[in-house]
Amino acid sequence: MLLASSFFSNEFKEVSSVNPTVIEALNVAAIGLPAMFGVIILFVALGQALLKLFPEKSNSAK
Amino acid sequence: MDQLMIGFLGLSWKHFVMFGIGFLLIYLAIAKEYEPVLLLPIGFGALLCNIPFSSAVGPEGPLTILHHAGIVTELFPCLIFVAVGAMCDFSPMLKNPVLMLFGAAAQFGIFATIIFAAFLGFDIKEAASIGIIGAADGPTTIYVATKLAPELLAPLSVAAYSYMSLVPIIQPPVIKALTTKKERSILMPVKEDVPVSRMVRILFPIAVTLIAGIIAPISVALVGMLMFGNLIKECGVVERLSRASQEELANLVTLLLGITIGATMTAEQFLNVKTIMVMGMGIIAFVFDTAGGVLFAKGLNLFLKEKINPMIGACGISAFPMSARVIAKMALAENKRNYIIMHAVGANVSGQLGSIIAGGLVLAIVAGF
Repeated sequence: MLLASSFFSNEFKEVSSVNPTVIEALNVAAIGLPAMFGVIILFVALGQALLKLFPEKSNSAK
Repeated sequence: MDQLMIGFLGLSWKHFVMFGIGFLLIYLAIAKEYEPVLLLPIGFGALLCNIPFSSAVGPEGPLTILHHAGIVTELFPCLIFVAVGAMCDFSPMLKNPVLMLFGAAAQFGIFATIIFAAFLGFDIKEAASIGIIGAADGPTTIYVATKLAPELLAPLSVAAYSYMSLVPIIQPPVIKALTTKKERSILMPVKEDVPVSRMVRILFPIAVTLIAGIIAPISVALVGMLMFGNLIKECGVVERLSRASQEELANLVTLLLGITIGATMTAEQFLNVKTIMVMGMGIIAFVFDTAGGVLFAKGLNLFLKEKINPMIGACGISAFPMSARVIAKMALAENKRNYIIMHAVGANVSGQLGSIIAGGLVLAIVAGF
């Protein structure tokens, strides 16, 4: 994420006409989108781990 | 006599425009039933605050007091999150983990709109607040706007709630433009039911709060309140609190939130070019959200053996359950045997979680600038 952020900062700093706010916005997207997927993937893993660790006890054994 | 004329003398064309907007919102709520629980109080609040010399607003006006107590302090959105959490069921999402990814993909509109708003000249805090309309989540929009751009709170709230109610109109054309009939007809059989134990349903909200909170502490109020509401529901031992959160708390705070937001729609604050731009960008956010979800699903299909109906991707927004319903209906229109409602609901619940995470992340990132 930091790499992506620095990529956008460095790329756009070279183009003087680009509004600094646009560079900040690109930074938000460059960090935010991968972070978004990262957190969601973490929650996917968490959910699956919890399902494995605490499976629903079957009612079939009567 | 002068005292009786003061209201008439204070009227200007701007007040009449705002009365028109207030009436429009009330009309949409009552006649069209578009998000009536919110648009009705917002519309009436807009009338109350635009009557010249209105006693409802001003330093001692009850709506101004409510604004300071519930919006400026962020109390109302946080309480709404408790209510929303108590209504959420994360089980469909846990049963089908791939669906959770759509909760991230369909937040694409947020980031695209932030960039777009920055191009149009908004500063980064305003741009971030405008982008959050793409979360398709009213309380998240209000929470982020209050922190970053309180001066845009009124148009942002109206845009968020209006476009949420317009999901059945906004999403179908975008989906149709990005998918073929064959893709929209992809059958998604209901998988073997994976039971989710009570322990998982209790531990999930606690663990999510801790993880999200540690990653972005600024999101604790958002995620924490949502998960607290969910824990109240899932633990099963505080049925009264669960019911109160889902009904009394949700109804009361929605009512106060709506009329208070409406009362911020004064002519001076609302009738300007920025408001028109915010309303325009709100629709862009929803379009890009839908496109992001659909295209992500199409991308996933390149690698998956069992194909996903790409329309499911569009359900990754937070507008629950409207988006799931719209997509399920579209799937049935393409193929009468295509019942994808359970998958759609799973993606839609992920969207609720995703929107809050996005709000927290945007706050955390923008705070760093």
